[in-house]
Amino acid sequence: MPKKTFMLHVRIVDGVHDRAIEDGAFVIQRVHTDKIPIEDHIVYAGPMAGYDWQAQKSEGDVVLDLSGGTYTVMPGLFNVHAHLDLRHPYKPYRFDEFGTAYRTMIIYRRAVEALNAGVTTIRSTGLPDEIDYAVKKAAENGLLQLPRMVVCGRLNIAVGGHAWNNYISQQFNGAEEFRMAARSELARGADFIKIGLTGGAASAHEGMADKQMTDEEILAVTQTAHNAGKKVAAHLGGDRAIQDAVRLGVDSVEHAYTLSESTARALKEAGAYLVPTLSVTNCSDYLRGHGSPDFQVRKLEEAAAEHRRSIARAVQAGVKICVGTDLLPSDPIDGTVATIREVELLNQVGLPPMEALKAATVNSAELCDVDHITGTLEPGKAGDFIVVEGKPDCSVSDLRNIRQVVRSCRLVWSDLPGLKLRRMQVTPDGMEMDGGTYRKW
Amino acid sequence: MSKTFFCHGRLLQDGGVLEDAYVVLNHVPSEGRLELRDSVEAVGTMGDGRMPAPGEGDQVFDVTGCTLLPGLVDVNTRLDLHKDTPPYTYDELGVPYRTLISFRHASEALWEGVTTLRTAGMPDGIDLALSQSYAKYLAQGPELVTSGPQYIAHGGLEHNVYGKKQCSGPDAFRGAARYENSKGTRSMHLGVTGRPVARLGGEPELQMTGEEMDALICLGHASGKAVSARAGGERAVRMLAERGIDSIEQGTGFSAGTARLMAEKGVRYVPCLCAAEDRGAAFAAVRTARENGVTICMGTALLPSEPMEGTVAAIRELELLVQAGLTPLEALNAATFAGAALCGSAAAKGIVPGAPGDLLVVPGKPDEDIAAMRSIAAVYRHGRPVRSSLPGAGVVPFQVTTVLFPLAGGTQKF
Ligand SMILES: [Zn+2]
Repeated sequence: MPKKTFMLHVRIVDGVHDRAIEDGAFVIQRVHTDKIPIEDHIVYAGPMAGYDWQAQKSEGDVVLDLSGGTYTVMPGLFNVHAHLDLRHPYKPYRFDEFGTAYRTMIIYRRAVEALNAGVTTIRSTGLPDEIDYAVKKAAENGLLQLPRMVVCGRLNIAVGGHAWNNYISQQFNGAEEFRMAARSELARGADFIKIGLTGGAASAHEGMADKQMTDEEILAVTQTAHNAGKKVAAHLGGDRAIQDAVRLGVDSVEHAYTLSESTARALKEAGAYLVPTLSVTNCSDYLRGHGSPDFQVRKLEEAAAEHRRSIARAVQAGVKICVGTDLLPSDPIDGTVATIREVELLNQVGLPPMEALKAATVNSAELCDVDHITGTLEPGKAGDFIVVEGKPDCSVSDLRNIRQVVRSCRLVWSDLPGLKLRRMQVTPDGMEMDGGTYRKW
Repeated sequence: MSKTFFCHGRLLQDGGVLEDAYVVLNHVPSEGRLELRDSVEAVGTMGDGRMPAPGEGDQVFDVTGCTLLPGLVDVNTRLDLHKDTPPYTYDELGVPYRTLISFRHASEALWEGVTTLRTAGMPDGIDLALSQSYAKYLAQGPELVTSGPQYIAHGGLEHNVYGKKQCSGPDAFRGAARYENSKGTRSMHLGVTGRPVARLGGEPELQMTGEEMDALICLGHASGKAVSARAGGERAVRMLAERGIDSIEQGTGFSAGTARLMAEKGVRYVPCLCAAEDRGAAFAAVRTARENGVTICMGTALLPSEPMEGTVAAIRELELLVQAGLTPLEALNAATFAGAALCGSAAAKGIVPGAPGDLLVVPGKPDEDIAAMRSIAAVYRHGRPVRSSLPGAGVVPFQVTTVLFPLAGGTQKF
């Protein structure tokens, strides 16, 4: 049984430094074979020069020399805004069309698709029936191979608020009801609390900037979560509401379809995170292809230009940006998957490639409060990483060429010279393990 | 379009073994569609002149010395069994986690060669959700013959186990079963008797009335479902046999006369020896059933993958059937053709042209030495490999666990 794997002559984007290590060595170590928790970890991520790998090597270790091509190892991708039970088109009513057990299986399948796509951590921003907690537990205790899960339970909204017609939400009225909602999720083991603070595109009769919760209600949630050491993420469409939310302690702003310069500065000052989900306003063909209602497509198309300008302002102000899609992490779009396309979109609005990679890794890890475990390539970290052919820190589109995905130092799949393993396959041999929302389960 | 050839093997058929046989599987690429139309294309003896010629891209396995047999059928399982089941009724897992644990256990069962299994009572529509996931190829698993929850009388046997459907009166039972059947269950499972009662001469407590049995059996048969009952003792087994129950499971203590009635009425017997509390009584019941012509099917009443005696429950059950007096060939028949017929499975005809291609490759002659089943070399489901250690088979395709984590463990693990 090999104990260490040496990846030699590889470029390293470690998520810590601002420049890639051009000729690097990346070494991971196996501690046990099948014990939970997996204690495998990174032992070295640095320049080849001065690193005597042969002295570290024992018999049975694996050595991968990647000098034959241009490969970059970097932390596994995060998708910090996803609803894995997503189904299009949205219905104008609220109905549990899957049932809990089957919905669980759909979510399981999409989580595996995400892992195959290089997404090693998912922050679930609202799922019903405590399914996210179960998936997280299954991932942690080794029941099934899954991405790392960061969970919040349901999306908590005001009565008739954003996504009332989506089964993932739960409706409340008044500060004490919202406090109770937050307490319930914390008791179930929530990693953070999610609220729907403004309108959005999913419901017909609301403006995307309509503020739907009172300050008292927001405060009840942020106080409750913060007292438990947890963050609050809020669906936030418009500038005014964002300003209020940040003042009231919301830690992560999701979407931000409109954002002024001064609000961007306020975000920066408060140390709040921004999850732009540019994917949402740049997916008209995807939505039409799924038969989404006109009002939804129109709302998002009208918002698109200002959304880009808003995120550009946030980039200018130096706000910490994270990668989330609202689409499935593995949703096929523009010849790649939604998570990677979001990184490209962030780059298009002005985030330099290296910063865009940090958005998808270390920034998101901080937002998820898992930065002590993963999100960077440093000795002692868990070893969630991908190997990309090319230089994604120079051209983010190179992310389209992932050649290996590893979770907790364990191969998910590999197409590197000298190390081949087929993608994770939970379906019959030869059947595709992708498709996102295009597979109608 | 490619093919897989197994040549020079021994083929277990309904009624005997075909020596020096070939089996050809035909693979139809799914090309992104969510469908699988692979099937057994040809079966015969080497040199019969009818074996299609292998083409480029086809896989040819010389399985000399191996036996090819249909995938195993476990007709009595409950996939959500797990460690720490509390002694009171409480949903300690919750539906989502119970679903994931059941999926894991079904995957383990498939890995061990159980390609069809019937759930003898599962709560919350979980068996149906898994079955639907498999039917749509969202994931892969064994063919699941669903039963919904087990029907018992109020306070009946194991009422403290989460997920039973408790009723009193034929109308209540009928109403409950109508509701469950409307969701698409394929069979029904009843719990009829309880613990042995000394004042009844050791007969188990009879917990259902004849009218209640009638209500459930008639309802099931009206829509072509097999209805099975966990029942023991002369009185209960006879009552059920008279009413046309399709199988008696786990129970013992019926007379030779009742066994003859079972044989006459086509009632199968599923002894579930691994789980038997009184193995002597269970072996005696197997003998009584066998001597009187009752068809025996294999069921574990456990997880098929439950580790025991150096193997797993599904394989151990075969060995115990042989210990109880079945020939190895009869035991294999119970675990394949007989079980598949009881379940109404598409695999009931075995490995014949047009069949779905669920098969096992086993080194040795399990029909002569049942212990050979302990070392299955390959498991195919839908004509595609789930696992294979045949030379040239390549990488194991199916994977639901982390690399190096075995897909095994049953309730010892989760
Ligand atoms: Zn969302």
